[in-house]
Amino acid sequence: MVLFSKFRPLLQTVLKPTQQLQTIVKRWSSERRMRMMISEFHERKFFDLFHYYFLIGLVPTFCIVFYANVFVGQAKLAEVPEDYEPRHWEYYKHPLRRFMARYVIQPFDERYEISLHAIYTQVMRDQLKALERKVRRLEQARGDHKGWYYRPIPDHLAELEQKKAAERSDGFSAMVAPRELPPPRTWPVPPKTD
Amino acid sequence: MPEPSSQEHIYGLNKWSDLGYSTIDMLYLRPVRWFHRNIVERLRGPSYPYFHRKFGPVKTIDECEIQDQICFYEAEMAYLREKRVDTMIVEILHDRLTRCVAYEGRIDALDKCAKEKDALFESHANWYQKYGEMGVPHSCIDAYMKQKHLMIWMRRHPEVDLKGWATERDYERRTKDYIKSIPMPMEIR
Repeated sequence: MVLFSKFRPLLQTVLKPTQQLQTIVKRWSSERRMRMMISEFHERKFFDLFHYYFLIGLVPTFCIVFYANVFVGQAKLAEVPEDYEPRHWEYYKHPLRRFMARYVIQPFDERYEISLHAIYTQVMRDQLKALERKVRRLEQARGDHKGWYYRPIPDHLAELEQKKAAERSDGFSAMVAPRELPPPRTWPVPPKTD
Repeated sequence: MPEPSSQEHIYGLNKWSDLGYSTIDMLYLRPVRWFHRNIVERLRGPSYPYFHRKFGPVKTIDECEIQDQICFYEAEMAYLREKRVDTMIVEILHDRLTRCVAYEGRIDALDKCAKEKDALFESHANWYQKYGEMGVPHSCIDAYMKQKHLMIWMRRHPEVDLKGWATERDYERRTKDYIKSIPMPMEIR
């Protein structure tokens, strides 16, 4: 946007308006002819505002960067002395980067530790949820503990059904009274599960 | 062969490069050097140090317990750091070979840059063996499995020349023989 204001007079000197064209030209020649032109007010105002708002940011930035590079200077690499733990901003070279690391952004090591903590809490949460799911599953299956599926009323039919299921798993399809199980089988020998 | 340094101008090569360098010298280099010597070095504050970050030793993937997500994360970070360092190493060796070839010339480089070339090829092959051909993205567990499968494959195929040094030497010999077979006067070759 440096020399934009020179474009229009340049074009007007290059492209001479002919008689057929209905061009509008400013009153700047020495001929006895009144030439009219579109106002340049809006152009000038736009460029003024653009430069104003652009430089409001650029001038302080340039001054700060100039000062940091010329008068403060970049750091020099050195070995870590014994018994000294460098602060987290002393790992950077440029003075502005050091400033940002010191006052603006989160330290590198802190970020790492936060990630580890997040993983740890997530793992714990997952384990607790799995435990809850297991407990609910077992209670629903057995129905024998005070919890989500607790019924204080003795459910004779359910107990009868459990006995029947035990009988069926042993291989008996139906049993009439007495409802005690016969002695357990000795053959085939079940595999050992330690 | 010279180590990397700031660009130095060779006076006397031809007058156009001399004129160009003289222009840049007068308009830019001399003012900047004057400014630096007379203003910056007088007004600059005290110099202060900066250090390189040291990362402590952590468990690698093969030492982690099962389902230990924290150990996995630390091993992954260590793996990524190692990968970046190895990539920089390969890049530096590549840079050295390029400078050697530019200094010696394409034909002399075959003889004089053999060490740089061998170093680059070996480091590149090792980098590919360790980090390559796993797809993007990949984890440290993928790299560990790749190492395992590679060792199994090498045990099953011991006769295969993975790095290809024999092929490389043969190619160099053939190139040199061809260049020597071209009849040329001694001053040009």
